Amino acid sequence: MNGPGLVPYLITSALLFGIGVVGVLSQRNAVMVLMSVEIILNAAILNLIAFWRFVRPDNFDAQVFAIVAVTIGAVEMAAGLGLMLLVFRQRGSTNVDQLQELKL
Amino acid sequence: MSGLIEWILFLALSVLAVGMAASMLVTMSMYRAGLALMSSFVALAGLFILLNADLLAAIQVMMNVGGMLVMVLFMVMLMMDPGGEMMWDMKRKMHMPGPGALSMTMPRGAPPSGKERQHHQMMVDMAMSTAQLPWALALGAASALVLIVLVVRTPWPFSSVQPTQDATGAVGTLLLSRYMLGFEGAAFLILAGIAGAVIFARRERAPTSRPAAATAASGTKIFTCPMHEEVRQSGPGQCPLCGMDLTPATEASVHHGEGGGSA
Repeated sequence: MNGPGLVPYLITSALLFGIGVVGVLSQRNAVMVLMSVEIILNAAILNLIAFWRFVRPDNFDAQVFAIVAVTIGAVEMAAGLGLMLLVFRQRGSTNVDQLQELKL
Repeated sequence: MSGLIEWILFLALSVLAVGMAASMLVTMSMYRAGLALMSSFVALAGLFILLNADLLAAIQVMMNVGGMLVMVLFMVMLMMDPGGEMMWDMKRKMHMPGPGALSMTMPRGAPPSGKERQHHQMMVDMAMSTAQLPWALALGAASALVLIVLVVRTPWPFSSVQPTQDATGAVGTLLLSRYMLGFEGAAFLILAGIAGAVIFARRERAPTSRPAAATAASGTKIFTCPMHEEVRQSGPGQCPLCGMDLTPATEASVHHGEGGGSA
């Protein structure tokens, strides 16, 4: 019996992506939105690695790309948290519905 | 590794990854949401190991799980009610349907009148998701479904080559030869991220020409409820609406409140 192939990994990744989309579209708290974006990013990285393993296991470009993507995710989280800290200090909440000061 | 064990590990890890990501969205507590996301990341690292990408699994645990740890810490410090105890208590007192551990959703329909109105307002304040939750659910399910159908119906090219054991060495060589520029770019990005986060989060110095705050002028501090901005009193105490401890009103909210009152 063979282990799971490419398709089961891609299905897991698609489910993670769907959950991330729900979170980004529905959450009110900016920190929760950031966390949902992280889920989407991780689904994409899982895709990359699954394709590397089952399509071109002799070529490690995909792993390099995935490492850079993980780095970008970490930086995004750090900068996002810094922004949220700033917003929280100024307004006392990180509710994205209330960030409408630029509206006329 | 035999195929059956691999299947069992794969199913357990992917159910954990997907289930924890989903429970991040339904739990009423931000702290638990952070922990759920962290365990989803750890399960993903396990999937990476199953895919023979050990180096990436290590990086995933170090960067994402470590990052989540900091995020959870921030949540405990910043969010009011990070453990969700207050929300749980309110749900029980108001006899709301559903298990208390699930997050509050936006109440439906027009706000009722009378005593119920206050309950309605509290539910609106405490809701974790917007009123567009059904649309978001439909869109998320639709996108996942479309992706799954595409994935299943596409004839993927397949290679039966087993990856070499020394993936770490190969990736390291690539990073320092062909992808040197990307490597340095990522390093520069981290530096810029650190600098940016520090600048964002730096505490502003008090400007000398600070407008005299109402609190300073009258000599008393105004206290307000973190949930209900309209609650104001001149000393510490508890909010008459929700019973939370009052906090000193910030200058911005004082001005905001006064402007709203006089308009």
